[in-house]
Amino acid sequence: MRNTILTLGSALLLTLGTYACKSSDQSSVNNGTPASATVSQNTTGDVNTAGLNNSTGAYSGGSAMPSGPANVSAETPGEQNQVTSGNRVGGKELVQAAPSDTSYAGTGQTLITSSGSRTASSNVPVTTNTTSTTTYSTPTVVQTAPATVAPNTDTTATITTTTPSTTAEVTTPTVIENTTTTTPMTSSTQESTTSTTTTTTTDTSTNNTTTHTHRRMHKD
Amino acid sequence: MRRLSFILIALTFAAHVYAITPTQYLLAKAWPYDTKVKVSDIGRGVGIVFSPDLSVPGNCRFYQSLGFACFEEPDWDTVLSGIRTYNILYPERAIRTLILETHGTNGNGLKLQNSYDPAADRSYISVGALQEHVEPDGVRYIVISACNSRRLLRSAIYKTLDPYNGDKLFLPATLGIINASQDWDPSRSRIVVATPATSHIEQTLAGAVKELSPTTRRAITVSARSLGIQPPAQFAVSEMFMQMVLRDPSLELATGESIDVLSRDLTPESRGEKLFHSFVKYVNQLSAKEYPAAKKRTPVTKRAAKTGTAKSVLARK
Repeated sequence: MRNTILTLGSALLLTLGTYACKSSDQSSVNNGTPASATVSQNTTGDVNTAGLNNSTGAYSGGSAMPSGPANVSAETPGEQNQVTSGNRVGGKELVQAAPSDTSYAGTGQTLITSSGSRTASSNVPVTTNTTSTTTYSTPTVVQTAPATVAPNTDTTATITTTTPSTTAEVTTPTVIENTTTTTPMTSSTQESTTSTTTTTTTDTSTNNTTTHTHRRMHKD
Repeated sequence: MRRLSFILIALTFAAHVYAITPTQYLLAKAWPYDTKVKVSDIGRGVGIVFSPDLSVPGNCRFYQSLGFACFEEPDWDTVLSGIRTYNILYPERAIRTLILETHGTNGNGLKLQNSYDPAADRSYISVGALQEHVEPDGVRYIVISACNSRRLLRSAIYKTLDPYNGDKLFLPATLGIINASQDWDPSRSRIVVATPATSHIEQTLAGAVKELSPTTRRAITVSARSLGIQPPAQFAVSEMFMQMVLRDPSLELATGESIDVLSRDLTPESRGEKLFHSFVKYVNQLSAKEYPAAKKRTPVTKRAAKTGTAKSVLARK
């Protein structure tokens, strides 16, 4: 009985081993063929076509900018290069170029009346720390000259006018506040002051304030 | 219930306080308000057009010193060319808002002129033509400070002015009239045209620079020198301009709506004077922020002595 069981078990194991070997051989044979499940779907555009507008898979996005007119993107210079250069598509920066002028009929040659120069030359004196020496001379008339003085005469000069000038030399250490004087503003004598503008004047004796009006022009 | 009512009332009041009027919104877009702006940048991005007879000598130099682009010509063609050239030369300060300190000719046309002499240089332009010409240059807002300016928006003269309107103020156009093209469509324009909500005769005041504080004069002088121009001595400023600068709550602007009624109303003299003093005060405050009072420093001679001593000590070491 025991031998019978062993024999049957051996036979069973032999049978199973042979079947197993057959199965592995069959898989190795089919392994050379291409997989059949994933090939055919690429012909009509796969499911991962979000953002693509056609069946070929070519990206055609960016046709409408989110915050600009439609014609802006078409006129943007260098847009084509940006798309084909392999950068991130759709993230381009909007360059809003001014449209060409086709309406204006002027000569275009008249320049601005203001001086267009950009030279900033007057900002320098603000920070200069120089010591300015101001000499004040006050001529003093000691005696007046005679009425008539003949030039080129050999007579002794009768002019007794001497000018012992009282010179006071004042050395002023310059402070930044003092260097930028606004003298051009106060000495505005070059323009004809036709306006009748006056400011508020305060009479210190009576402590009254008198306000004068400004000249008015009507835009009729 | 009582508490809820109180909260609702408080919220309503707060909303009213913080409400932004259309005028404020329009000004915020056209001319952003900055309390810390430099004197030389007050008018950045803003162009101003003066009729020569509404100006004073050296007026444009004053506005240029404040950062504006200023034009003062009797010929609109020259002004339009100037705007275009400016925006080409100075793209960083390009004009986006244009303020017109011109005549309105009782609402019959924007007029620039040297004087009321019939033979004087004079030109007119329609609002539509102005839009058509300056829109390609980048201008987005036009504020008309002229008399009866809302009448200028009438559809009958919006594109083409009527030179035979019978108004005595419509003097001979010795330098021509500029009208919009026939195929120009106002509805496609991106420019916002703003006018005073109430029609009346606008006024301009003539002021002197010496009325400004020394600090302001100094700021103007520095700005003018940097531009290569002579510092101004006087200026002309309109009431509406001052209202815009000061963000006066009494200013009401309207956009796109025309009226037919002709107004002869003049603003009271006291109003202009009050605005003028507020304007001067505002500019003085800005300059005071830009040029704060300098602290008293040690004289140069003493500092030099100290420096020399320090150097000698270092040398000994």
